[in-house]
Amino acid sequence: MRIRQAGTVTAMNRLREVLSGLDWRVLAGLLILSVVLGIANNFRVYEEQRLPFFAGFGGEDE
Amino acid sequence: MDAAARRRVACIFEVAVRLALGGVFAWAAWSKLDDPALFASQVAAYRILPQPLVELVALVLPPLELLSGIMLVATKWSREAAFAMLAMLAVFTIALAQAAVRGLDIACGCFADEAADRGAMALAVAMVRDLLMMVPLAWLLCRRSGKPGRGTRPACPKND
Repeated sequence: MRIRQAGTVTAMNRLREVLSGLDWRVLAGLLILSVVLGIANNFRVYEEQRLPFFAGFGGEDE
Repeated sequence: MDAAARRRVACIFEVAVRLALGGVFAWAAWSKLDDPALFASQVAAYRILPQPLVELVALVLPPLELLSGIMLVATKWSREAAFAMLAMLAVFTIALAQAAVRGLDIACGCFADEAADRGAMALAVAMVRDLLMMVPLAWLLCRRSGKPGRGTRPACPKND
């Protein structure tokens, strides 16, 4: 029981160390850049149609 | 095998993992970028997200995969890329598992050229593939984690 608890604590400490070692600004930038590229790609594919996010894929003009 | 040789082997393995998994993610993304509508229909088939979120995921996920793949191979932020890829694979695995449990006859949507592969077997293969990819990514994340000077292993000298 005590060994299992020690293992859990070690794993949690390791996880905390891994997460604290990450640069969260890079991950936020990755996410923002992905949104921008996704929107740009959408315009590339469906040239003059509206964004599917607002108009639905297939983008029928009203 | 002495410590230096072990470290050299680990460094070679790390480069191989970064190239292979970065390539797989970039390839998966590339095949989806040309047809967002098809990918959106594949995401919708999982029946776990409302339509606006399906479209948002279909819009953002391919570039996220592409950028993560490039980051893993070619930048110094390979840990962040590995974390993003691990998170994506975990979400994919959960989505595939719930689809398999509910008996949905759908395509995985992982690669555009797999669109014809449907059903429980295709989902199981995709799930195993995702789990297998998570192992080296977790290793990569742990291997290169921690701030310098805190007793973590040194990075490969020529990779960054």
